[in-house]
Amino acid sequence: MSFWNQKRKMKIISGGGGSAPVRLSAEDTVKACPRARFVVGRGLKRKLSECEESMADLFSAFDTSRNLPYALQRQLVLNMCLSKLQSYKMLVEPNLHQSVLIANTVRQIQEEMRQETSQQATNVCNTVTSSVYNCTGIDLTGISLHLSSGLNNPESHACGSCSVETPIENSLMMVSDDDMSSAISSILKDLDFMEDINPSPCLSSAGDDQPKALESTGLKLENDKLEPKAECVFGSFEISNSTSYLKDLAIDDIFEDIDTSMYDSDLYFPPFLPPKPPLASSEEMLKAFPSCNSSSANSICRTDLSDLDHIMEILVGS
Amino acid sequence: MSQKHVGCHGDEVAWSLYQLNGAEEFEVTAADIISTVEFNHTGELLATGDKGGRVVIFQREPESKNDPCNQGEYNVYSTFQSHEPEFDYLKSLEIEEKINKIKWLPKQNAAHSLLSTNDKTIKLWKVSERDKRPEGYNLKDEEGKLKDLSTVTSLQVPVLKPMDLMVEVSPRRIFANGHTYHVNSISVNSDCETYMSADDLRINLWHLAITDRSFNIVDIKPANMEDLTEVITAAEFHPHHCNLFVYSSSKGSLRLCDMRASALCDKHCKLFEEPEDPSNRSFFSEIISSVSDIKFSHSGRYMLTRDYLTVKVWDLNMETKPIEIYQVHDYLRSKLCSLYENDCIFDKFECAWNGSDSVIMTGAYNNFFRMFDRNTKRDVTLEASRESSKPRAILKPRRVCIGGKRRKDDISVDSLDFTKKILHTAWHPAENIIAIAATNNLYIFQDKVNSEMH
Repeated sequence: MSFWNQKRKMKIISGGGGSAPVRLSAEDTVKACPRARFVVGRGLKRKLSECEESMADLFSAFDTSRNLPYALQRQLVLNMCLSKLQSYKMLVEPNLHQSVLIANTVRQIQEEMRQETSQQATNVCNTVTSSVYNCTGIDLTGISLHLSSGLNNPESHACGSCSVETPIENSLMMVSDDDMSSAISSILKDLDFMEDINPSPCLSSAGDDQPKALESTGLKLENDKLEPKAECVFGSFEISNSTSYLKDLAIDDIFEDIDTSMYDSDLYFPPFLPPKPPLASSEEMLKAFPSCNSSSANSICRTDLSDLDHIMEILVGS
Repeated sequence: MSQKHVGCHGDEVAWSLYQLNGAEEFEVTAADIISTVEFNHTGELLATGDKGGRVVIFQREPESKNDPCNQGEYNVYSTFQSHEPEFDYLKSLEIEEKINKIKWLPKQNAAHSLLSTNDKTIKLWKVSERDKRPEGYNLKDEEGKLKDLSTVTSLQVPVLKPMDLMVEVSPRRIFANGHTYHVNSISVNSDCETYMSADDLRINLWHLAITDRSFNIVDIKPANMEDLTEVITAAEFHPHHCNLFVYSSSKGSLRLCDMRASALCDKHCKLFEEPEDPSNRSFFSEIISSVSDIKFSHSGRYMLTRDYLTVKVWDLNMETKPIEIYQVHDYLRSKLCSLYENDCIFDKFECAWNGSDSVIMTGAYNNFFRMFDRNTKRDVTLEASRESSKPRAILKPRRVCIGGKRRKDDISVDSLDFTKKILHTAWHPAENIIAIAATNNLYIFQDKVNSEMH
């Protein structure tokens, strides 16, 4: 099934991007997808039979995925959790035991991501301001202030148009309220949000060398003769940091005719690949993705917030 | 993994197939999948429950001294439909007929009694034999129809005449409406008058004779279900102290409660919990630490728990950590992501003590089951399969290899069949006879050599 997802993912990206520098060639895709011939229209529900997957596939996949950056693994797990919770929604009486275990896993991951992001947010602010400030001599204090206030403002989607990735900062901040651990429903809500915002793995995968990356970003900002427009500073930072080709891709255009919310998380996978070549070759990644990521990405994204609320009512009610 | 053998007393493994029940089918009907196995207190009877709501009781034939081949096989004694699929119209819920647990009551008269439960309803069954029937009623004829009184001219004394043995199973009590969530455990108290039933969030105490009320002794349901982070996974009464019981949770902790302390045992008197090992931390740490089964030792001194990767022995006198930990299939630790994806990680493996509390047994994947000798620290992996176990032939220990060198007959981790899992096992209370449920088949193995030494 995941192969199948992968295929669909690829189709969308390469189809929409035309010459977009997606590193996954069609051959790779086919090789990795024995079931590629089952091209199923978007929005179609997967049948159970297609979900069958031999354990061998899974294992090899996971073996490979051990080489995956931690943050990416985490994202895969998170996706799986959400997809499971979503599928439980279909059940009249979901297994409470499993639901609780999965929800706790989600909580744990969310907490981790929240901590990382708040850390990063501090780093980002510091680095961006200092480097830009120093190099260009422009007084950006106002910007940094704006940035941080934007970060802390859950409603701020000002950067959204600049980059699909930006909202992560916002939403994560939004999550950071003390009620974190309180309600599964709010967690799921938040997490759904995070699904939209995938790049955090990318950011955090930078791990130790993060400050460096951020610094170079700062430089890049300078080189690009960044317009000191507060709203866009963060967005362009995001783009340049993660993947250059995302800049070329007018993402909203590609998905103009489809409901992108369904594919949001699919979108994020390619960006992981280029920045981390030392950890795993992109081909390995390709192999790793299908099974580990599996159905999750697709099904989750069909969820909207109210759906998730509804899941929780069902999971928790009775 | 280790090639060492576990005998219970000797060094040799001498487990051999005793008998095998169940058809060889390529496509197993879901209803035939065995969902629980339980010996009675003498080991004379063995009951299995399946997903189709049926209970099959096996009885051990008396050993024949003339025929060495007939060493007391377990033959089908009775089969009955314990639970039927139901529909809760108020909640619009289907209630599965699957038998979650069976518990035998200590025998108190000529009849046997057992409790069986599905997700919601517990039933008490009486299993009795009848080999005589009364004949010569005055007012009824042989078929039980009333006679025409005018034909009754003389009176006779009815007599009991022998007839073919008949096993009657009759429902004695139905304990319904006690559970909102899924019942995962039932346990008969040592006072033989009460039993408890545990679901995900509550434990109820029932009197065996009273069906219209039960006492809630544990309730972990938070006021707001959104705050729920832990569920009850199993519960059992202490074998000797009728006031003590233990329940396990999805976070891997065990709570021992004393019913003398208060009517509602929300406050445990002992909490058994192991500190988390940070080196083994992963996304799945909590999931794999969820306790799937808990069993008091026969002595009542120890508790055996099973989580996804290990079995642990806890001493009732030490709460900080288990006294023994045995790895069941540690090679799966690196596969957790896949096992999570296909939901195998949620499989609820059971565990069992042998009669003398010296060996423990639990199931694994690929129709493997594991035994750990607590004294010699030896462990063995055996397989329940038609192909590899011929009657009376001694089972060969199996070995799973983890990469690297692979010896003949080793099986690699990647070729384990995760659809074949041994979740339910039971050990005869006194002898070295074990019952293993593998999908729709019931395997009974015997360690003949060692059981004679027993």
